[in-house]
Amino acid sequence: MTSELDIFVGNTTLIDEEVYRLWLDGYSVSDAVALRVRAGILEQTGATAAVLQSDTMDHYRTFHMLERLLHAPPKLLHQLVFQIPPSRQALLIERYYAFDEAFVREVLGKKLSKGTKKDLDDISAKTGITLKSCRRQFDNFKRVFKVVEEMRGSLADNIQQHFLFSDRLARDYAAIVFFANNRFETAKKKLQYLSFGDFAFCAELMIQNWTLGAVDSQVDDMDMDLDKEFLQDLKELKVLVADKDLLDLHKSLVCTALRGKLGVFSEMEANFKPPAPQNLSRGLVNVAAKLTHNKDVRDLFVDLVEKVHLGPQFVEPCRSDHWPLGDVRLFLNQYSVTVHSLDGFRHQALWDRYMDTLRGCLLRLYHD
Amino acid sequence: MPGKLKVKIVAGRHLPVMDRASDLTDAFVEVKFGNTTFKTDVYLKSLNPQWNSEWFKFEVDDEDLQDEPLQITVLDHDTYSANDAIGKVYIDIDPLLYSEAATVISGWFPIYDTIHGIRGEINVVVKVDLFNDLNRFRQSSCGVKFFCTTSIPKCYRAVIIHGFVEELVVNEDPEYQWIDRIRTPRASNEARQRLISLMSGELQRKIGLKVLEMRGNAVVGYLQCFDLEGESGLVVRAIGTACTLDKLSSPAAFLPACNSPSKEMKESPLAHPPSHGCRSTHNSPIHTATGSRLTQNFSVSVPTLIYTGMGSGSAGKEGGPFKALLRQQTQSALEQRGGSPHRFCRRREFPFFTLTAFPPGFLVHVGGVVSARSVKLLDRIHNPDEPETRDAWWAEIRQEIKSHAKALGCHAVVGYSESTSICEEVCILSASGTAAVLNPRFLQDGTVEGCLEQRIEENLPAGCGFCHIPYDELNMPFPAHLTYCYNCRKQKVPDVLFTTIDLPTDATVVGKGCLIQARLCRLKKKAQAEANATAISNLLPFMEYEVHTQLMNKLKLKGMNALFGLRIQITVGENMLMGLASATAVYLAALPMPGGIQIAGKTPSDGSYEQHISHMQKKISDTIAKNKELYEINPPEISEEIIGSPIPEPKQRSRLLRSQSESSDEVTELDLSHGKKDAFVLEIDDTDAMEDVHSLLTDVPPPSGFYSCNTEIMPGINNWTSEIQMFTSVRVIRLSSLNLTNQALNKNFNDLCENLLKSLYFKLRSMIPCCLCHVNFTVSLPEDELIQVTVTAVAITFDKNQALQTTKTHIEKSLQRASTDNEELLQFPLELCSDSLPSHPFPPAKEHLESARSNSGIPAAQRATSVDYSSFADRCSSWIELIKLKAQTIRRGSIKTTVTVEKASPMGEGNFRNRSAPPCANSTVGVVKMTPLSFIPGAKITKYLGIINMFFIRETTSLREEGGVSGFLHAFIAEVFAMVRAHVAALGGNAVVSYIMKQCVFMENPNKNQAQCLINVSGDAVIFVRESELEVISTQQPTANCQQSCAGGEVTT
Repeated sequence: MTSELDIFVGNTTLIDEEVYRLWLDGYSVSDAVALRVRAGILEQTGATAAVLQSDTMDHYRTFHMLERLLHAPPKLLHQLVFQIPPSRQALLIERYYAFDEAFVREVLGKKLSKGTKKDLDDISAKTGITLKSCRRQFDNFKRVFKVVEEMRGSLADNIQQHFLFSDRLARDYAAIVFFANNRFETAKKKLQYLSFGDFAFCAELMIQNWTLGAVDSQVDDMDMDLDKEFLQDLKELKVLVADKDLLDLHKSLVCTALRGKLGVFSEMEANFKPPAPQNLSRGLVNVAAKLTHNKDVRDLFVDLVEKVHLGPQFVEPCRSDHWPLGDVRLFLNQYSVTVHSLDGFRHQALWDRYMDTLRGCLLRLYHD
Repeated sequence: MPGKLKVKIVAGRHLPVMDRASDLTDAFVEVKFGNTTFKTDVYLKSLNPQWNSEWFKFEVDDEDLQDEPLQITVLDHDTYSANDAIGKVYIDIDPLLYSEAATVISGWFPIYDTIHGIRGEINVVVKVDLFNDLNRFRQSSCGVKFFCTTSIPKCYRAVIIHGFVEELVVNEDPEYQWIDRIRTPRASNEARQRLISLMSGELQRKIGLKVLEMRGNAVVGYLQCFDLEGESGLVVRAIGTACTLDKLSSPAAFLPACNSPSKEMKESPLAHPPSHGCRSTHNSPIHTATGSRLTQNFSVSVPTLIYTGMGSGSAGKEGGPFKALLRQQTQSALEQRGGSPHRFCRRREFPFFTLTAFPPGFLVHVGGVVSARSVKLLDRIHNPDEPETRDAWWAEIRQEIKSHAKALGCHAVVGYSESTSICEEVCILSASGTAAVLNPRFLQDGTVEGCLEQRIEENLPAGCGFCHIPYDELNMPFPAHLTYCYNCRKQKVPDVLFTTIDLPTDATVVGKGCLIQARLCRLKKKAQAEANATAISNLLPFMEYEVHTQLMNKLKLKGMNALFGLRIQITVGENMLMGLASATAVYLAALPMPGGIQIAGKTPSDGSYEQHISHMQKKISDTIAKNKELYEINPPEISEEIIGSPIPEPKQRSRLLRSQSESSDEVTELDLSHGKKDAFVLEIDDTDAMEDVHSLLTDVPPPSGFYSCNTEIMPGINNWTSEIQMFTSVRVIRLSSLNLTNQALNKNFNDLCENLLKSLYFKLRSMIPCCLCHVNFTVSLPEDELIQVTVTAVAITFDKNQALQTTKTHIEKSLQRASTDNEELLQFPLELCSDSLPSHPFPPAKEHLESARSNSGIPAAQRATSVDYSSFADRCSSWIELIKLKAQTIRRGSIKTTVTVEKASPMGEGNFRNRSAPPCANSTVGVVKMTPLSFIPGAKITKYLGIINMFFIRETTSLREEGGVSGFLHAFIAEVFAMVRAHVAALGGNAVVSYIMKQCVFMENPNKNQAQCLINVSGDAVIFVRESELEVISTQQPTANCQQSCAGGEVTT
């Protein structure tokens, strides 16, 4: 006796969250059955393995049919074939587009191209996430990217509108799309300590301040592309380190303000000295000046974190001196505010646009 | 020109991409009604076209309005080649034809293609302007309302229940026409869909005409089926119950009938003609016709059994004395109740009712299940305009049913249904129902509600009246065990009662009910034509018999004594016959407590065998005890003196009525009567019997928190909460063709059904505590080695805590009632004999008992030991011999342990009316509920919008790509649900009640990567309002009489 056909169709489509998770994780039906058995479901319900197999198959088939609709979530809402309560619809969408931290760290900032897709088996092997699940996550990123690119308006809003994500997920996807578009390097060994959340936080700040959308909300791709003019202008900030008077004045103002308040004052003061290779100010300004070139834009995070041949950079030096986070914050605040008191410096607005974001990013990146 | 149909095409969405180059579609719409077609403009390059068309107006006869569906076709415009069809929408405009239903159909309809399934949606608005038609000879029947619901619809009152209406229309099946060889599968499918739609419309119109002729205005319990006879044609047939319904105007009326003040209800103004003309032309006996047709049109009449529960007899139509007796009895019954007999004696050809639930007081007595089957050979329908052969076939069957009912002393059949099973050229026609005595006043000028109730209660104690035997105990058509009713002790009741109806709302039930199934397969040799039909008809009686035995055994095993909603389906295949009976078992307080089951071995000498037997015996006894606990069957014990001695068998019991049908000798000897209170003896003398006993024990009870029944509601549960989940589940298994034996087949089938149920319980576990209601199994044999089982049911959650409370109060109540009843009995001992004929003065119980004893075959010595527990071993033996289950001497000892004379008391009346429950807040916009029940828990139906009757075909030539057979059928059923919901929503409704999937024919050809499926569904579109929203209104209503069981029903009080 073999079962040729075995189906269950409810007027309200039954969604088993547990099976949905297994399906999303890319397990085959037999693996999913085995996992469910291991979870003790047979003991809890008194069901037989055959019942479990049939149930799992059925759910998988349902999910398979829903998948087409999940690719365009508004369709899921308006379709008539599956009657699903709104809360369940939201759950289906949210879970379908959810991604694994380990996976997203692998592809964050990479071009969402066929080439990257070919590397998915390596990623799968490395992360232990099934290839199927990797593909789904990758395709999700790509699908969202394709839909929202060349669109006007806020990136996160567009994503939310077209994919009906929760705020949080929409913001995460905005970060993924932004990173993919600007191809920021995130895979370097030095950057491994950073979580997706760290990058997403930075992405949000950069989208807010550094993109075209920050100055003009009527442009296509306004949140995805960095404001080229702004990046060009950043060269002007070089004067802060090139002009020795300005640098000294800046330093003395910062030191006066922070004296006694900073636990690592001496280290800070030492780092501020002009000829010293580890010049904090120079590092920050140089990062800005470099952003004119696309390649350097991609290396933004590497530059921020790592020491490269160009000179002293920021995060690593501070960490090696064991600055407490509070001290870093105090210093950065003072450092950027003080610039307003430099009479000879004419690019106050530019400085703020650059430094406000960078300060936020640096504080977020500054951890172990 | 009595009607103007107006259609507006608004917009489309989610259309498929028809032009690969642009990834877009240039869509336009054709609107067709009858022979008139309109077109919209082409909306270029869009998947979401906005046509916003003008109103397309069709000026048509109302006859066409009823018959024709509105056909909307969405196409992709192509400048150079033929336009490609995207899909179609058929809209049945019938709901717009009567005033109280929908006024407009407006909404998004799925665009359906028989090859691709649903492809986008289209927004359509449809209106009808009807003009008054004074033509007396009109062919239309606009205005007659149709309901699938098999009870009086919730917001109506039945003024008159006229009776049975039926009709059938035949046609050639387009699939088998010559043109089908050259046209595409799509064209062929669409021709079929359209034809069936047309035929359904025509059928409904014709039935409507009959209703108008009877001066009714509605058809309740409308059941339309189609028979795909293959080469020989397509039959669409329908049955229903004609009624005159009055709409209840205020929401107050939604409350159960018992408390609405209806005393002032006036007599119906409609004078009722004595003849119910629907079929008055058939005055020649059908039987003669059968014989003459035999040459061209082979037909075998199958001897039938009457399931009264106690026995069967092949009840025949005997001559004068019997009829006289019947008349006398009915008359006396009527006189006793104050009705005038002549009223009842109207000539009513088939006094059948498709209803399964009735207004209080309508049902007076229930006799038992009557069924008839007949095997026919299909022949091409030569003239579609004269479907006389098929008509005659059904008339014959109905006649038989009618005579069976008469034999049971009943003048009517309720819960009536008809079905067919077709395999190649052989067709089994089946009909079944419950023989009953009805209150004649309802059939004429009676009103449904309270005014009659009081009068009836004077004669009939509530909750047990329907159990009292309608037939004469001295001239019973079959041997039976009768006792005085355990409730009122005034009239006699059988030991077991089988019915096809729902449990009457006022019935007194102990504990909860449960679903019982009897499953059976029989191998049959492949044969042709006559030989095949003969083989089938020879097998049928045995199958019926075994199904009955299984039901009885399982009923005993559950410790219960009555079956409701019994539905026996016999399916014919190439090389086997399948029987599946489903019913809901309950413990009726009015009936005696069932005895246990005892096992006897044939070779007592063998020690180990004995041990085995006793082991089995223990297992069975344990199961019974466990079941009693599980279903809370604990009728209050009542000492024997109060009950009085059981009534002995009448002397005439040897007089068996025989069937006139040409059945073999063994069959007429069938005596299905089972022991009464005695342990029920099963003898195990070969492996077959062993298997049978084993199979009894393999049925596992549902997991805790689950209950199941195939009736509308679960006896013993009355506090439904509002969560419902309707579902359809289909399974097909392939049998390994090697060495297929009956035994292996039975096991496979049994496993299939059990596993299916287990899967359902598992899937719905999140709804616990819940009950699967209206569980409807359908078996078909699509191919040689394939068995297909389709189940549709609804899971309803209930509140467990409240359930416990109610039970408690009911037991208390019942105990009180029992004691008062006892006093009454002592005061009026003479009433005991009220039911017997005057010519047979009832002898004192003891004496009668003795006389019966001497008549029975029990040795004197045994008799002496068993005086208190009258046992009738001989009766067991007469039937057991037949299937090698021979009755052995009953062991007294075991009887004493299994039988305690207990009495159940009236309790829980009104149990089932109280479905109010704390309302659930999660009602969302756009949700359409579907349920096979006639109600929505926790809600009131405020309006019936019309009948939904839809037929779909889906075909694929890329089966693998669509996920194999499971993927294909899963998607199709989901689409069918979607289309039903869309139609309901467009009518302005938010639910379908009495939903039924009447047909699900699935054919596959995996080698060709092809599959085809036909589905026919129906139901009533309604608007319901949550009880919470009605709360304000209902609190203002007098709730005095109603809902005594408000322990759980805080909503209305």
